[in-house]
Amino acid sequence: MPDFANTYRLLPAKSVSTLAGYREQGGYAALEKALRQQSPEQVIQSVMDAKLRGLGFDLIEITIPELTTDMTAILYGEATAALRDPVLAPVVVALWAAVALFVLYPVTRLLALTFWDDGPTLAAVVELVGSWQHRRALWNSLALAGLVGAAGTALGFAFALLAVRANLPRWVGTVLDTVVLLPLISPPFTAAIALIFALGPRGLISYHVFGIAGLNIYGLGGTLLSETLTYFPIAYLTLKGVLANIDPTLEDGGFSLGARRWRVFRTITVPLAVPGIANSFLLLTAASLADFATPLILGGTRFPVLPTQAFLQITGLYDMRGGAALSFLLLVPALAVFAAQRWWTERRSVITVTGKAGAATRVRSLSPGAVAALVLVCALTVLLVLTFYLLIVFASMVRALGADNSFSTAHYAHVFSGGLKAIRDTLVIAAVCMPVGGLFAVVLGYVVARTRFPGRRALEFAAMINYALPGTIVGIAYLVAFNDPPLALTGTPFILVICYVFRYSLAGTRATTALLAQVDPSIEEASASLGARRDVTFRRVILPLIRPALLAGMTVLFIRAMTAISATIFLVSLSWSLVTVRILEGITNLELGQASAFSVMVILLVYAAVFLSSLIMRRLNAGSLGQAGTLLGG
Amino acid sequence: MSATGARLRLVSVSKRFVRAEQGVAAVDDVTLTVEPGELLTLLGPSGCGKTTTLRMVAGFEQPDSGRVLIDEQDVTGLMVYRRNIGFVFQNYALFPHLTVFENVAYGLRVKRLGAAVIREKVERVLALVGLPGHARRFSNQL
Repeated sequence: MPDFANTYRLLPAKSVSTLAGYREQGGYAALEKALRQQSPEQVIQSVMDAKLRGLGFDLIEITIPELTTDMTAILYGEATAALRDPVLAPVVVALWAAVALFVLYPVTRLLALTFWDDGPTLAAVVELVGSWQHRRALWNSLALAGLVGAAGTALGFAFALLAVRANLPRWVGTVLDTVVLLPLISPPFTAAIALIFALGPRGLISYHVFGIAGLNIYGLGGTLLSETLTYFPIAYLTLKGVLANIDPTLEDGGFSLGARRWRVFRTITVPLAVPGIANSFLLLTAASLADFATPLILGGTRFPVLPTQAFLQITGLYDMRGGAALSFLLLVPALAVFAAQRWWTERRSVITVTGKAGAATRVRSLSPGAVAALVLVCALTVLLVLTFYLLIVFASMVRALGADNSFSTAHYAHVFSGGLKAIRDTLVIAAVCMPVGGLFAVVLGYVVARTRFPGRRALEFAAMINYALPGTIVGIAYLVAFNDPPLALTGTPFILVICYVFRYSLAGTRATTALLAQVDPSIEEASASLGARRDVTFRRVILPLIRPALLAGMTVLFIRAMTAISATIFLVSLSWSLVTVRILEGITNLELGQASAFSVMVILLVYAAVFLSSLIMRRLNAGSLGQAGTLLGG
Repeated sequence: MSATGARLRLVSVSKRFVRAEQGVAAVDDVTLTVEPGELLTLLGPSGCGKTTTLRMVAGFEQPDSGRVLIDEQDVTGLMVYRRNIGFVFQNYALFPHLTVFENVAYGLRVKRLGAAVIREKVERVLALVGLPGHARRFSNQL
């Protein structure tokens, strides 16, 4: 042990509490000498001669990099300290209680209903697998998900190549991004309705343009096309980032070694993009597995999939146990895909570290022919998507699209009379979800990223479950769990708010952890050492710093509250009906004009929200905070 | 300047960090006393535990064993924000969302002092360090 008693001494008693006083004592003399009299070489030499080691003089905190790494290890002492924190401990307990009640409990009830009937039983599942209809639904779901994953990724890759590697004018990228945003923020059914308008038995394109009668879009083909067009933007956004991150000098290296374009593409570009491709495939597969709206409209009885089967089992046959068992069949592949996707993304972060990007070389890595082909594919897709949306707008403004194309305001008149309540209810629920879910997301993100309490990882994982599960499962689980006292929440607006908060807060949580990674922990320690309790520090320091994450989280919640259907459909009631449910009713009642008018309203509202939030985001960035924009993507 | 100082005592303070299932002793059984008004320098090579010792005095780290006393009062279990210990961070730790004035005023606001008192104290400190006139700037604009 060092002998401290003999190693310290007192400085002269004169005041060194002012700058002038310090300089009188000879303060900064060495600095002045180094700056005014010595050359850099001399300074370096004198430091080397002094054989200085370590960093410490004075009673000044020194941040040693290794120590920060140490701190991420699980520290027993810190964990108990976290539990004694008078603010943190109750917050952690509250978070755990909320997650246990609204995430773990419903899923447990769902599993119990499936596997427990006066004792453990496999009867419900065995019965399901025995039925050919349900076996087909399982097979269909998996096949459709795989196909959508492949087709959507291919289309997204084409778009990403065009945007990143084709050296096209800037406005092309802007057009691509704008059009691609449309399917991402649209209410469900949009693509499906438009597909019926365009390519249905009497479709505008198939029948009126090409004269094909009786084209059948119901079944695998139509569902696949509709889901691919709905979800390929996810692949585009993922792959665009991946392709943009590939160091162009690697491709240059291939060219300089004599490889031709196709060979460089095959042996360098694609292999480097493989993690991104796999990630995008898994994301699309998960989206398709969970998709309820599209197969409900386009699958029909010929093409049953698990989410629609589960829905029909419950609403048509009042068979809760059968519905629960069906959603268990869906749960297994959904969780597998989710786990695979997490694994891939964690790998990717290692792989994309390819060193410093060199000078942005402008090698034309795509041949003119390849660019032309990509432009053709993307232009056709953009045209198709735009046609779809124009058709929806058109259908909302004529009496009955295809049969009577005369202008009519009847559908909007309906939206603003009988439909007004649905719009108001949806907005009320969205307005409640935003602050509640936003705060939940941000607090969870902060607690997970910045504190060390036992079970932190488990809490993070548990909070993610409802997001990872298809909405149909969450909806059925909530229905099972909250249908009777003491927690009879079905039929109340609370169950919708709770469902959205615990299902769609993940975006805000992720944005928070990403932002906090850029904030030095010493800022919080400074606040604490100045006497601020943890809640004061959170309110006065953390919250202002993570405003962009809060905003992004609230925007995502708004969009989801306006467009969700898969879980919602089980939870709405007569007194609280939502716009998406009205759209579905419009379709099933064959009032497609009304459904279109509602869809247009939702799209306009969501676009307005996205626009507003990007305006605020820009102002936040212009202020004191600096970077951290573009969080809206997820 | 400070009329009354406080006596700081560390009694057999130890701290181990667990890393990859291996314990690393950062601070091993340190006992020392700092008298009121005394200026003490901890000197030593990287990783010898200077920082950890200071962080335990301020309350950012919890010692595995031993006690921290301020004026013979045991503060080992006391939360950071109740210890009233000033701390100068190597990387400044300025609040990026606050102006220079608000950065200096932060601790006073947390202690709920009156606006006039805060203004007077902050202006005195800014004059002391040669920064009057920069009060309205943000810390990253200096």
